[in-house]
Amino acid sequence: MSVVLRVENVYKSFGGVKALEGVSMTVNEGMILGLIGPNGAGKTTLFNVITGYYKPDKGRVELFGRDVTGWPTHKIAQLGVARTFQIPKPFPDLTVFENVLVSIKFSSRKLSEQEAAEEAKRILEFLGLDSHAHMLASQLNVALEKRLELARALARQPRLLLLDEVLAGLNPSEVAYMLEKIKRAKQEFGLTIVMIEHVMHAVMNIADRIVVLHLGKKLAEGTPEEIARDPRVIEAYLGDPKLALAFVERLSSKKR
Amino acid sequence: MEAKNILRELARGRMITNITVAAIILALLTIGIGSLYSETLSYYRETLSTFMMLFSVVLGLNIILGYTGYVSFGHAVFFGIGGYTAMVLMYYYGVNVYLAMIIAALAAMAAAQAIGFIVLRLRGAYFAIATIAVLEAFRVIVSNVEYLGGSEGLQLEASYYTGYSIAGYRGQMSVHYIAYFLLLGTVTLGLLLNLYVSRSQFGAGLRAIREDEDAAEAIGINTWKFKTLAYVLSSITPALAGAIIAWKRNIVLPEEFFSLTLSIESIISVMLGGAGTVLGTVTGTAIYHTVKTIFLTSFPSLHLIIFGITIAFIAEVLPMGIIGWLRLMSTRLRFLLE
Amino acid sequence: MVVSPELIMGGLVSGIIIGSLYGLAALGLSIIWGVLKVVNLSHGALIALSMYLVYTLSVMYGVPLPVALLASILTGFLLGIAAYYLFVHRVLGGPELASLLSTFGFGLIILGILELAFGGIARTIPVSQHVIEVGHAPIMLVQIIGAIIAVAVAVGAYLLLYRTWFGRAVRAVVMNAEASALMGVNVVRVLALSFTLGVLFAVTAGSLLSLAYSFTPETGTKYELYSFTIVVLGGLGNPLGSLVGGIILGIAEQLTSVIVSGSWGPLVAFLILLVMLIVRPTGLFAKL
Repeated sequence: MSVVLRVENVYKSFGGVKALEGVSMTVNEGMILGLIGPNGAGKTTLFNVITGYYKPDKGRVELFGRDVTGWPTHKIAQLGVARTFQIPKPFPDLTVFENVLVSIKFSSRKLSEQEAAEEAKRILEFLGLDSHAHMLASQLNVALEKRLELARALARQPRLLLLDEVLAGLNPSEVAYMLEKIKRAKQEFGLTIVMIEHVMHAVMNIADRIVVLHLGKKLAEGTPEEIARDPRVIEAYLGDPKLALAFVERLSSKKR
Repeated sequence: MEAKNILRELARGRMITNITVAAIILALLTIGIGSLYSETLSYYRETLSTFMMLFSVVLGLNIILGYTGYVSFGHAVFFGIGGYTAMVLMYYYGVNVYLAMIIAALAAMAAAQAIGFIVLRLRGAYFAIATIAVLEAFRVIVSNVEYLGGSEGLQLEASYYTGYSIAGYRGQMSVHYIAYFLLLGTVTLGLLLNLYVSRSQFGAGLRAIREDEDAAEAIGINTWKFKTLAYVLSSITPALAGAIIAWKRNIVLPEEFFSLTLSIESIISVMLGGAGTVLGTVTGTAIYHTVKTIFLTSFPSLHLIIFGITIAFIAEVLPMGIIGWLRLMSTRLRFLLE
Repeated sequence: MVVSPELIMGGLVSGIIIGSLYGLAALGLSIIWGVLKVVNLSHGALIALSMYLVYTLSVMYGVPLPVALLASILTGFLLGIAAYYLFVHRVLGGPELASLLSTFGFGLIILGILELAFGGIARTIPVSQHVIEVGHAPIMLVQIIGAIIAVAVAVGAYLLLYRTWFGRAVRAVVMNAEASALMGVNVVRVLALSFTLGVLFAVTAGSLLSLAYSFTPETGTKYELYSFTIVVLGGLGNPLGSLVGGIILGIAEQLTSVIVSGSWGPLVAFLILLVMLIVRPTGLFAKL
């Protein structure tokens, strides 16, 4: 099994704030890795380092076996990396269809206009967005906006997909819908996925492996079962009562 | 709507645009040729020359403001650079206007590359202000450099024009006619550039930058390269127009060539028609030019006030412009109006 | 030309004096930008307007100068309120270009009226030529008084923003308008008052500057660009930063005038602006 992403001893600070302090992790092909941790743990910063928005102060990032540390974002994207943003960043004054189409146009595939338009339709149908295809993206509600984020990322037909809280703000049935789509997309496109997620039962359910960040450091790594049993993880979440509760619920449901 | 139907509607929209653009160019050409043989058309020749001068700047501006979303508030800087470059070549070296135009355009493109290197790292209002500052800085420099004529400008002698002729008109008599056709050529080039941007992958990338630069970068667009190229392309037609007008008026002056007013007029025209649309540039410039001409002749002293009211009105009531507003009316119109 | 130490000293002193007025003008732009997120492109026109108000009252109608100044400032206050509702309120929260255009439009209307009424001839307001020696540099008394007023107003603005209920409301709105509204802050009124306050500072600076230099309707553009430069130097919504930024720019401009020539002065401002925009767009001083 080949290594898709390797992060080695990455440091990043902003002014006096140390956002990442020596984080390392490895993501193998075909896996879903859940990245969890309380707010301010450095999860999104790590995404921004991987995708080249930030240059790490120290450490390396390797994608598909190549050292990409310090590469610009668009070059990393062109390697076959797609991401979603925690606060969705649709192209607001383009239609949903145009949003996906532009993403297809800049993927590595060489498609004719007709093929690109058909591909866009297919992706919109896959995510149940086809009835909104010609609405402006700025008119979508949160749930549809999150789907559009995912659609635009999938349109790139990436090898590695980074999802930054795609489930946040969704109601339970929408969460279930998105999880289903992520699983199916993974099978269909042969994706490797890293997902930042606060919806704990979801990430425990879908991830093969979990990395816990806390205050810029890697606190724990393991299978969902190992993580759920790790007392250090529970302690870290105690600073965040809502999430701690989710954890306790998870543990008690396990016992039953 | 099926993918096939979307493409068919889009193709229909492009056909409409092509016909409109071709009709405009043909009409202008006909009037130009007609004016060579009929004195009654000379009024139209002059007002259309002024229209095409503004239109040249508008067509450049639309690429960076309309498609890329960068509010270049001092876009006349390229008109000035073009005008001054051409004038230096004609005044000191006796270069003919055609070569001077080409060199002026190249100079403006080089300047856009250099200025862009500084200002394109700024976004939003900071970019807008920086472009005003660049324009003002050029004006101050030009007014203070003796080689460029200082605040008096540079003026060509009548003897410079002896070699020019068209359809029996010679020397200075031929200038207004030749300038008209040169401006028409510039406008044609500008329209082709806009059509290219509107329909190409490059243009799709620019629109993505306009909508969200971070997201554009995330889908693999080299935003820095794209916006720099857009800025460079946006400098060409303003510079050509500057060169032609310098030659036509036989003089360059700092305030008239590095003009905030011309910059603002082109922004109004782009916004009025609908930023980032091909049809909008024509519509906006035509309406603005017509209204301005009427008001300037009827109430010359009120023109600034009328300008002001127009701008505020567009901003508050119709910020997406006429074509932009129509495109929001229905999905069909969105495909049809390019 | 020999540049003597006296000339340099003179440039420094007059730079500080005139720079404090630039700083006050910039404060007007800065508050509106910081609170409403609107770059007020009528800023320069408002400054020019205040100059002509002082001119009309004191030169054309013989009103005593202090009264003329106060009247000009008061007019600016009323105009600020009207302008907010006519030109600003509807474009808030819209695209950046909309607010740039609508305030620019307002500025053009003012400019058009000034051109219509006064034409493009440069005007001056005759003031007492009484001169005081400051470190071998002769400085006019009126300018010194003007600078003192400018500093006082800037300090007053600082106290207003950081020591009063109004200031707290303003800062709450800046941080989160929705939450402030829920907590009972009348957001629209805070925005309108902040805009008016910004206009008030601009016209106060303009009225005082009218005593120092001759002016035409176009003069405002120069001060507008100076104000941008200072805001970028001093940071957004920071009264003391504006004052310091203004003084830096004033010194740079005056020294350039002394060493090179007066007409190059504005260029220095643009260069500072460009360099700052590239190097540190958040300003030299962090927000207080």
